[in-house]
Amino acid sequence: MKAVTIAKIARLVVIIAVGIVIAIPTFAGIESLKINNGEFVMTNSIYEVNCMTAEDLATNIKDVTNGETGYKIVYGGQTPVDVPGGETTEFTDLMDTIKAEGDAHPDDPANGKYYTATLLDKNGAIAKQQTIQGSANLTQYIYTGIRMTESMVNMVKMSVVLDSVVNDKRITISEPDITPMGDSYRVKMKIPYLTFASAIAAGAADNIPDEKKAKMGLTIGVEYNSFFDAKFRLEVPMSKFFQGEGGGSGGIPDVNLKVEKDPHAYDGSNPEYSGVTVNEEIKIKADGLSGLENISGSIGTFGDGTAGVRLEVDATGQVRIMSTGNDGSGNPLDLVESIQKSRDSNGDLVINPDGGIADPITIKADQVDSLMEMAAELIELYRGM
Amino acid sequence: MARDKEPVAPEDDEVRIKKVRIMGFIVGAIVAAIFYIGIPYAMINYVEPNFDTYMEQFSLNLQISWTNLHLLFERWMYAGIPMVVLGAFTWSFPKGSRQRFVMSVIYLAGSIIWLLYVLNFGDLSNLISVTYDGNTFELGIVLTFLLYLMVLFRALKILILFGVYKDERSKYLEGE
Repeated sequence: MKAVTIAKIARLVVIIAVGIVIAIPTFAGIESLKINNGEFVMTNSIYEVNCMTAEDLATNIKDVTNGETGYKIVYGGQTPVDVPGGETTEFTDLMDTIKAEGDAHPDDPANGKYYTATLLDKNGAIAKQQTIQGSANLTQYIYTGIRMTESMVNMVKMSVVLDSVVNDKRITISEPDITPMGDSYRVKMKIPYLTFASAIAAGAADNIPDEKKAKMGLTIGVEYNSFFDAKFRLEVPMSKFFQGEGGGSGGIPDVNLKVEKDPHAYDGSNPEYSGVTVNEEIKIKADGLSGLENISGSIGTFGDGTAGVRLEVDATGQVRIMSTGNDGSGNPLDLVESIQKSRDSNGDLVINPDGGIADPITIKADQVDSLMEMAAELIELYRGM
Repeated sequence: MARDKEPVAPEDDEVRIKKVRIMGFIVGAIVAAIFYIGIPYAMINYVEPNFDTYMEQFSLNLQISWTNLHLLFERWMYAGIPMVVLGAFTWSFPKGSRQRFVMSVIYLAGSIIWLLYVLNFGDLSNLISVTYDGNTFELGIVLTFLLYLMVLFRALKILILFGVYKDERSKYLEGE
C-alpha cells in the first residue's frame, strides 16, 4: 500500500475519531428524534401583571437610605410608616402592606389600585417619590418536541434578548430567564409594558429618517458546548404592530407611554410634611425629539377652560404630558379626557412652546387617537394592578 | 538504479528540468490565483454590486448587507497574495524532491494562517444581514473550539504530504 494511501487513511481515522468523541454526548443526549411537526410547542403559558417586587422596592429605597433607619414611607392613606433598614426580606411585608393599603383605600375615585410610595427623610422632607411601574410577566414553557436528556439540555445555553432600536440606539426591553427544566426549557420573560411603549413613541419623531424608525429586535443566542456561539437576530419595524396611517412610521403615535397616576399620592396636606401633587400624567422618553430640550410648552385650553394638557421636557429629554384640568372640585381630570377636550376642530393637538422659542408642535388627529387608545389601555393596566 | 532510457545529454536534461519547473510555477500560480484572488475578486466586484439587480429581476424585495461579507472577501484576497507566491514556488519543484516537501509544509502552514485570518480568528459576529420586506435578519457566529478542530483537521494534511514525498521520492531519484 502506498504511503499516501496510508496517510489518507490515518487522517480519516483521526477525523472520524474526533467526530465520534464530539458526537457521542450529542446523540446520547437525544432520547428520541421524534419531532413534533418541527415546531417548538409552547405550553403552560402564564401571563400575569405584577407591580414592583419587594426586591425592587428595597433597592430603590436603599439607594437613598443606604440601609439606615429613621426614614419613613408614605403611601395611599398617608400614614407614614418606618422603613426597614435591614435585609431585603423585610421589605416583603412592607410591599404587601402597600398593596393592601392600595386595595383598601376608600376614597380612590378611580376605584382602582395605585402604588406610589413617597420616601421621607429623617427631617420629614421628600427624599424620593417612586411610582411603581407595571410590568407584564410572560412565562412560556418551550417544549422542543425533541426529547432530550437533562445533560443535553444543559449543553446548549440559550439566551434571548428583546429590545428596540431607535435611530440606531438599542434599548433593552427584556432579557428573559431561560432555565433548562428536564427535557425542555422554561422561558420567563418580564416585559415592562411601559418601557415597551416608550420605545415606540421615541421612534416615531418626524426628525428621524424612516429607515431609523423604531424597530423591535429579538436576539436568540445559542452556545453549544463551547464549540460555537451563534446569534440570530430579527428586527421588525414597529409600524407593523400598528394599524392605520399617520406619523412617519405608519401609525405609531408621536407621544405616548408611562402612566403615572396616583390621585392619592402624598400631596403635602399634612402640615408636618412638605410634598408635591402628582397629577395624572404620561411620561415618555423623547430620544427622537431632539431640539425640545430646555423648552416646555402647554396646550391651550379648550371649551370652558377647565380642560388643559401640559407638555414638559426636562434636561434629560424626558417628556411628560400632564393633565392640568380639573372637574371643578379640584380633582384632576383623567388624562384621556383632558386630551380629548383639548383637541382642536380638526382633532389635532397643538402644543405652543412657552415664549415662542420653537414652532408649534402638532400631533395629528390620527396620532392623537392612537395616543388616547394607548393611554387608556395603559391607565387600565395600571389601575388593574 | 536501472535506467531503461537512453542517457541524454546533461544540457538537455537541465533544460527539461527547467521547463518542468517553469510550467509547474505557472500552473501553481494560476491555480492558487483562481482560488485565493479570483473568487473573492469576483464576489466583490461582480456579485456584490449587482446582487440587488439580480433580486429585482426575480421580483424579490431582498437586500443583503455586504459590509462584513465584503471585509471577509477582502481578507480572503489580500491574505491570498502571499499564498499565490507560495503555491507557485511549491508547484515549481517536482514531487519527491526535498524542496517540494519543505515548500508544501510551508504552504500548509501558510494556509492555516490564511484560514484563521479570513475567519477573523473565529469572530464572525454580524456576518450577514438580510432585509426582506422591511424585516431584517442577522446571523453571527463565534467559532470557539470548532475553530481549533478546523485547524487540526487542516494540519493533519501533513501526513499526506509526507506520504506523497515517500511515494514519489524513489521516482524523483531515478530521474523520471
